[in-house]
Formats: sequence, C-alpha cells, structure tokens
Amino acid sequence: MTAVIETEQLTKRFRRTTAVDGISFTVEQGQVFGFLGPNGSGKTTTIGMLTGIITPTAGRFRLFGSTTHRERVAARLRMGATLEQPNFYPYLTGRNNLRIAANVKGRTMRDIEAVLETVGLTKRAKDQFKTYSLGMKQRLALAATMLGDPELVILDEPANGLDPEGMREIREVIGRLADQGKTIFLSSHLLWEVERTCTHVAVLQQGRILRQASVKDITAGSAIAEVRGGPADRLRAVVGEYPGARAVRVEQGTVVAEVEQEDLSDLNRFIAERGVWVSHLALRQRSLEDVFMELTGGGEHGMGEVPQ
Amino acid sequence: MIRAIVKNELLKTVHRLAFWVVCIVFAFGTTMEYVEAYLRTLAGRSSFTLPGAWQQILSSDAEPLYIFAGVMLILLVANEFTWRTARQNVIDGLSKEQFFVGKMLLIPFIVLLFLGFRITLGGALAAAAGDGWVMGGPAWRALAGLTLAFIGNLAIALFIALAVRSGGAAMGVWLLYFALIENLLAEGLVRLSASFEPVVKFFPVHVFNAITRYIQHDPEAFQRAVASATEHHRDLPQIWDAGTLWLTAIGWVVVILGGAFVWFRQRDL
Repeated sequence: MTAVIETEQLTKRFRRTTAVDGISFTVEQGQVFGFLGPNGSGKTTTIGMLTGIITPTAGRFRLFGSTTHRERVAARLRMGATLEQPNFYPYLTGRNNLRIAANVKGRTMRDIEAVLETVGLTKRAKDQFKTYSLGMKQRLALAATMLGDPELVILDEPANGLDPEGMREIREVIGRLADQGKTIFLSSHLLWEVERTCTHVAVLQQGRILRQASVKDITAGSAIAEVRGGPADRLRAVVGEYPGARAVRVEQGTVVAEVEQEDLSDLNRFIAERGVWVSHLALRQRSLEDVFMELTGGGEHGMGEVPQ
Repeated sequence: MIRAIVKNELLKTVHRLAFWVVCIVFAFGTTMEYVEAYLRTLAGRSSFTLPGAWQQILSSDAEPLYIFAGVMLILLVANEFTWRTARQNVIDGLSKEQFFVGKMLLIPFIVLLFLGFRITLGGALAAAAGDGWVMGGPAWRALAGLTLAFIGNLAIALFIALAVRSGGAAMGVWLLYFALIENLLAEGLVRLSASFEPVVKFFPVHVFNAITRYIQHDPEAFQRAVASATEHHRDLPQIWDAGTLWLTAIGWVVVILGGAFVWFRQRDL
C-alpha cells in the first residue's frame, strides 16, 4: 500500500493552547479514513496543516510522499478538500466560484459542468453564492472538492448543518468516491457517520490520537449488554459489581456494559439477586461509540449521538 | 500558474460591484476636473495646454488618486479574509506565495487603470485645447515618479489590508496613516529634537510625495518656483538629489512589499 498522508509528531500551538499535540498517523491509498473526535479536539487544525493554511509548530507531514515545500504544493493539486463551512465569493455565481478553483487546478468548463451535475446544482449555477441555502453551499463545496478528479479527498465535517436527506446524499457521494478507489480523509464528530462510512479510523481527543485502526478491528472484541430497569444509578452500581462487566456507563437512561460472555442469563440473575428487576436486557454489537466512550473515559463533550 | 492567478484576480475583480462603483466615482471626478480646465482654457481664463498641463496631470492633486486606488485595493484584498476565500484559494491548490503574487499583481493593474485614465483624458483634453500632444523629458520623469509613488502608496495599502484582514478597519487604518499618522509622527519627532528633521523626510509617504512634485523633475519649473518664492519672500523650495530620491522610493517599495509578504506568509489563514 502507498501512503497518501503521513504525519510525524505533528504539532500546532496557538500561544498557550496546544491544539494538536504530536500526532502521527498514516492514511494509505484507497482508505476511507475517519478522523474522529469531539469539537475542539484538533481535527480541523490538523486538516488546516495538511491543506497548507496553517503552519505546523513542530513535526512534519508528507502528502503523496512529498518532502519539500515545492513538492507539497504540487501534491496539493492532487487533492480536493473542504474545511469547516464552505468559503466562496458571495457576489460570484456558483459556476464562477468553481471557475476560480478550476483555473488553479487546470480544469475546463466541461469539468465544472460535470461536477455541477454530480452535486445537482446545474440549475442554480448561474445564481450568486449568497442566495444559496446551507445545503446548496455544502454541495458547491463538494463540487469544488471533486473538481480536478482528486486522488485524495479531505472532507471536514461534511454533514454539518445538513438535514437527514442532505446527510444521506453526502454519504452516497463519499461511497461513490470510495468505489472509484479514491482515498478519503473524513473528519467528523458524528460517530455513527464515521462508522457507516469509513474503513479506518483515528480517535482524537485534546489534540492527541488515542487509537487508530480499521473500523473492523476497533469494533471487534467483547459484546455490549444494554440493561434498563429501575433507577439508572442503582442499576449502574449493580452492573458495576458484576465480575464479567467492564466499562459500565449510562447512555440515555440505559446502562451499557462490555461483557465477556454473550449469554446474559447469568447477568440477569446477578441483578435480580440484588433486588433490581430488569425491564430490558439485550446484547448488541460493539459500536464505534462504545469504543470511543471506553477510550475517552466515557461521555466526552460534543460527540454526536446515533440518531434514533 | 501565473496565467491562472491573473485570470482569477480578473474574474474576482470585474464581477465586484464595489470595483465599478470606485471606478465610476473616480472617472466622474477626474472628468469633471479636466473638462472644467478644458472649458476654462477655451474661454481664455486658463491655460490647460501641453506641455504645461502635465504639471497638473502628473503632479498636483495626486492624493485623490491614491485614496481611490488604495480603497479599491483594500476592498479587493481584505475581504478575501472576511469571506475566508483566501484559505479556500489555498485549499484549492494555490500556495500562499502564489496567492500573495495575485494580490501584488492588483497593484500594477490599478496603477494602469487609474493613471491610464487620468493621463489619457487629461492629456487628450489639454492637447485639444492647445497645439496638440507634447510630452518632453520632464513630463516622462514626472510620470515615472508618479507611477513609483502610486505603487509605493498601494504597497502600504496592501500591507495594511494583509495585516488587518478586514475591509472597513483596513480602510480606516490606511486613511489615517496616509493623512495623519505619518505626519503626526514626523512632526512629533521634529518637535522632540530638530536632529530628527533629516530622518523624517525619509518616511515613506514623505518620500512618495517628494517624488511626485513636478519641480523635482523639471529644472525650469523649479527655477520658476524659486523665483516666485523669492518674489513673495517665502521659503525657497527644496528638491532632493534625484539618485537618492529614486533609490529611497524604490527601496521603500521593496521593503513594504517584502514586509507584507513575510507577514502574510507567517500567519495562518
């Protein structure tokens, strides 16, 4: 596998705040790499360094193996990226905004029309950017990203502000890009979005990578028991006493615990013997959210929850 | 890449309403000024004819030229940060250096546009009012001086736009610097000690003003100014050594643009 992005001890400090603290990771060709972390964990700053708008304080990174500044500038023409909200000229039309990116990337009007068609903006392409809805702005940003047929696509919180339909569309586009063999680097604070979309993941907290692996590997291992019945605090305490339970926590009134065995009858008996009657007891597959909670010590701020 | 940069700057500029508003206001003011001079000449109340009219066209009243042009440059540069399109340009594949080059190219573009209009209209009307187009050595030197001063003042505007990164605030800082701050600083230093007097004349706006004075470039105009000052018991006009003045003005342009580049490059977008 060829490394598309490699970082080594990449660090960014803003005065006294360390936004990114010596992170090292590798994204290989063809991976859909999820960069997962709560708001303020350093995801956007890392992407800012990769895209050249933020200068690292320390450490280094390589894009497509580039080592010099000149090589890195050339390598950036092989990637497409969006960062936070879409940033375009409000007085220019959607089409003219894409012409700015197309001129830099050496692309033609035909390429512009093709990406406008892909994101469904052809009919509104002659309207000024300032008249677009948030969803349309996001789609224009995606069109600019895809312009030039990039080998590496970097998307920073692509589902931000989108309605469920918009999110579904974004997922479909990401899926299509992945099917074309493109490398995708996707930052998100939405755990379920990353789990559904990505092949690999790095979990970031307070500027540090807590763990990185394939989604398959990271979610493998022990099963998760969900228990409801009686006061959650009391139930949590009881489940916490159970010898086969780990990482016990409360999620929206449900006690969740990692269990060693998939037969829950023993756990049920254990709880009942302590005078608590269970109204719901179920086993589910370990999700990325469970892994994240374990890694961060449970309930870090700002993480998106799984939609019900 | 330079072709792409030029195409993009042109695209951003010609679609901007503010650009046309500034152009129209400037063109209207300049047209009024020269048409009035032309009509007064036809009526025999003025002598707006060439080569004498070059003094008015290429030297006096250059401040409105700088101010209009400075405002335009700031509008075209600072809003790239307000809209965060500067970062988008870099994300799209421009290096920071290439983005800076794009903004720097706006300086010759604006100089050509504004100065071209002023010289073409003023020169044409003065030629029509007199005996045709006459442009001697002093006028060419004055034109070169005005061009350099124009570039220098726009370099200051570019520096401020890149440093302040907000259109309104940058315009305020630029107008204050241009009209007030440097003069106040110079006056304050001279009042503090007369020994600062030789130093303050090297301040950038002072230098750019000096190189715009017509008497600096036309020995005959200088002699006339000396004679007039003697007759009216005023201080005699002073001019710079031409080589020192040109070198200093060019030096300031290089220093200001270099400073703007270094400042821009080291800051995150």
